[in-house]
Amino acid sequence: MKFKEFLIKSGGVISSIALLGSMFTMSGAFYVPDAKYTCSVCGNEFSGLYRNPEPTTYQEYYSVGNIDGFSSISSSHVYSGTLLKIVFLNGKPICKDCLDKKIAEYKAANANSLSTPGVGNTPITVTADPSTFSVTVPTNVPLVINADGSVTAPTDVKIANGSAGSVQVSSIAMNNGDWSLTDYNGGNRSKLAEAKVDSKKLGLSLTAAGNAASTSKDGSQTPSIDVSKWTMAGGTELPITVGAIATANSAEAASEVTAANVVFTLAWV
Amino acid sequence: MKKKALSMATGAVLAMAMTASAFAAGGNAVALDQGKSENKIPVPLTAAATTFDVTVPTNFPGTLDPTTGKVTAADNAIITNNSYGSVKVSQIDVENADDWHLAAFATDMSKVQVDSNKIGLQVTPVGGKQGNGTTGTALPTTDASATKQTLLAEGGATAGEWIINGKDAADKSNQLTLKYDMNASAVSAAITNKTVANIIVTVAWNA
Repeated sequence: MKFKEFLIKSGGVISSIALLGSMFTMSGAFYVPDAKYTCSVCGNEFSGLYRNPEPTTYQEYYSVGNIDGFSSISSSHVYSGTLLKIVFLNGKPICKDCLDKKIAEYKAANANSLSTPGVGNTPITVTADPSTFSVTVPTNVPLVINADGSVTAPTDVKIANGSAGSVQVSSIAMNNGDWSLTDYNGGNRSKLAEAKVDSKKLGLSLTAAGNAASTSKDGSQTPSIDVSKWTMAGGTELPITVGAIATANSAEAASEVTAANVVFTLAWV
Repeated sequence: MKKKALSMATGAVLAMAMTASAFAAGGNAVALDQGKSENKIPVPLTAAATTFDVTVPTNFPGTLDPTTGKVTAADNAIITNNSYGSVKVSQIDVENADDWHLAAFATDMSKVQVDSNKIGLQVTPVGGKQGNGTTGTALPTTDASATKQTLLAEGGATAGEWIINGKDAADKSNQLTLKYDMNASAVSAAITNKTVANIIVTVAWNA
């Protein structure tokens, strides 16, 4: 087949091919190849597609304001399947999945933001070290039994709360020492009148704010107390009045003895 | 004037020195453990010897009835404990005096020779710790000795009846009446306030 005949017979086909080629060339003028990015968070690679007109920013897409560290690139690449511009986190690209998570975290942390007029519940969070527990207690409660049977007790017994918070004496235990505890009986010594001399019995009472913790029977015991009376605000003192009765002694004590022990249990209010 | 002032000052200082005093020092409470701070505070004790103060009868008078031969004793022989601690009559002895002789309290003196100078005694505790008005066991003399007999011994069976409570007792149990009875042989001539025997009462702490 000669070339002329060929043109005549196949002119329609060639024209179609030429037209198609021409069309292809025209659409190719708007095509930009996908860009490849590596997510700075998960490390996965993802595609960025060109879109025109100007695609959506993350602020518009997620309905958020500017978030520190997040930015959109100046080009018009978008995440695949969206019109959302590729977002950079601290100058490095981030994939759509990781971006969704970051935005979700941001929204959760700022969930109390009001988009409409209303009441916002705003928690007040405080970070604090435990308060220092600083309390001064008596090192001892010395008693002196006089020749007439009376007992001289110290008048300066107190507990001082040097802490910032309130402290209370939650319980007081009175335990036998070299002497055995007996009924204080309101300070009335009539019960001891028939006790044997040198039987070493001691009745003890500690009073704070009008509330007395007194022995009421023989032996070690934990008198009930009104804890509210044994409470100290921070930086205050609790004076304690000591009362005691004791049995007679046939001879002067050769040396000081620990007649009993008092156990103060302290705690924060 | 200066001497008086000096004396007063000295007295004041002495009085202050004699006054017993006690001071409580302070220290840090132990650290919290499971929210609690347990602080063991000792109660040191210093004790003086308690003053012993007991009043006993100065004598035990008796009057012998010349008609009946019976002896009437006084009823106010009281031992009073003014001490803070309780005391006890720990021992009672009876000794003869002059030319008189101890005899059993139960002796029938009507059968004894006149002027044989025999005296029988018995003592009984009333009151004291055993209770106001409560009468204890009588302790009589026997024929064991004409010169000295022990009616109450330390730790005897009835020793508990001779305890006298301290002065703060609310029921007067700090007093014990020492009831005594006498039985004497007849005399041919009158005697007045003659000591025919001595009762020796020993009092001690009820320790």
